[in-house]
Amino acid sequence: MKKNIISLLMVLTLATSAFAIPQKPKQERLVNDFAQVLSGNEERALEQKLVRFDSQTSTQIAFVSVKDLEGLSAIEMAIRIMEEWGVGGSKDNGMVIVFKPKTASSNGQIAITTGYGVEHLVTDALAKQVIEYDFIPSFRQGDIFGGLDKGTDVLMSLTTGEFTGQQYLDKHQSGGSGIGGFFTLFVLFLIFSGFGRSRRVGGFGSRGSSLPFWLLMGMGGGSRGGSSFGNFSSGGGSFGGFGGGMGGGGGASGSW
Amino acid sequence: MKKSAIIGIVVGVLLLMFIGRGVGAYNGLVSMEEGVDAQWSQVENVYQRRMDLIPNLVNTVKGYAAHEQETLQAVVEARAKATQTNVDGDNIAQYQENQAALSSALSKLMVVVEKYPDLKANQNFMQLQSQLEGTENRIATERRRYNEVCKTYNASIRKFPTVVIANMSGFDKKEYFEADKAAEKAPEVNF
Repeated sequence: MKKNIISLLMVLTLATSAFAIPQKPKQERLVNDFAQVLSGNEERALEQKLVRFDSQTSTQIAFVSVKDLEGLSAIEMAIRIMEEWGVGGSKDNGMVIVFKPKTASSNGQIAITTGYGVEHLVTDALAKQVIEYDFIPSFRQGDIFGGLDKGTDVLMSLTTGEFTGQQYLDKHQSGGSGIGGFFTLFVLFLIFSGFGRSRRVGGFGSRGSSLPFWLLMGMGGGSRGGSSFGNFSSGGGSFGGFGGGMGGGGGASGSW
Repeated sequence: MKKSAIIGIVVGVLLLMFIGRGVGAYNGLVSMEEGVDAQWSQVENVYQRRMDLIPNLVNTVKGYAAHEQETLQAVVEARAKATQTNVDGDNIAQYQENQAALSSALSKLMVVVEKYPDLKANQNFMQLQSQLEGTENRIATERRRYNEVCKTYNASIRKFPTVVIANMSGFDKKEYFEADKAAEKAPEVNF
């Protein structure tokens, strides 16, 4: 009897140590703050935002914070979590953000891995830029929620085509920053899309068509998203679960 | 008379069951082998992705670090050699060796680059660098998955009773992707 218990214990410890990555919680959710870096309200706000985005676009962005990376790099852990949890729907449109807080003795780490279905929209180079420009600056100031909020906004905009990767890069090259930068970008958009249309009407089809068609569609989608915002936030909405999405290991990581 | 008929039926049923199992095992092996081959093409894809990045990378570096001809040349040559090896899962060892040589040529280049702050600040280079880093992660991921499906396949062709079918119909052991030192150490791309 005693022997049995011991062997059972051994099996149990082996089973747990075999999985260095966090277990998928029974009640699936998009925000998994295992390292407790967010307050209760922040956690709810982020979860609500990500759930709303999932129900509107079916793109799942999962956030996982861990105290310890268990010897893996942050990106490896993100890739494994995507694989084990199946983040993303049938279109493999998932992303996993792994966050390890900065401690007295170690750097903070963040990694984003992208599913097969979104890796052409959020390329490795773009993921790196979002990490460096949108996530880490806030993290450095100790504003973890702020960084996550800003960073996930950009990731969402990239996946819906609200702005393209090139436009995002251009914005940073010209030195624009923060909301002001986005605003100018948005105004530029309006001007350009109007310009494109009028030129096309005027017969200069080649100039007008240089602006991708889906970009215009994306802008339309953006405004529609804005109107449904109210509906979703009042209901709160709950997460329907992970959809078995797969990724090929793309993405990027950074530390501070 | 009656007894022998019963024995006959029993033997017949057993034979049918055995054949049924054999067919099942055979089909299982076929789809498993397909799985291994499919995963192998994923591995090739990500290596190809890395090779596609190299011309652009070499050109960008050239613009800033013209003195590093030797290192650049080594990368170009290693890439050319790696491009020549085509594998159908047979000479994985050779394929691996060439890709490993390319990995080490690339990591040397990435070390050399540290001396050129202007290059490191170049937007185009920064993008290429993060793409390269991402591609190394993809390579590691697809290789790990290849080894995983390989392991399942290799184990099942050695297990009884599948081993009988495997031997009869020529299912061979698949070669693993060995973690070799040069390839394991992805180019250091720190900012």
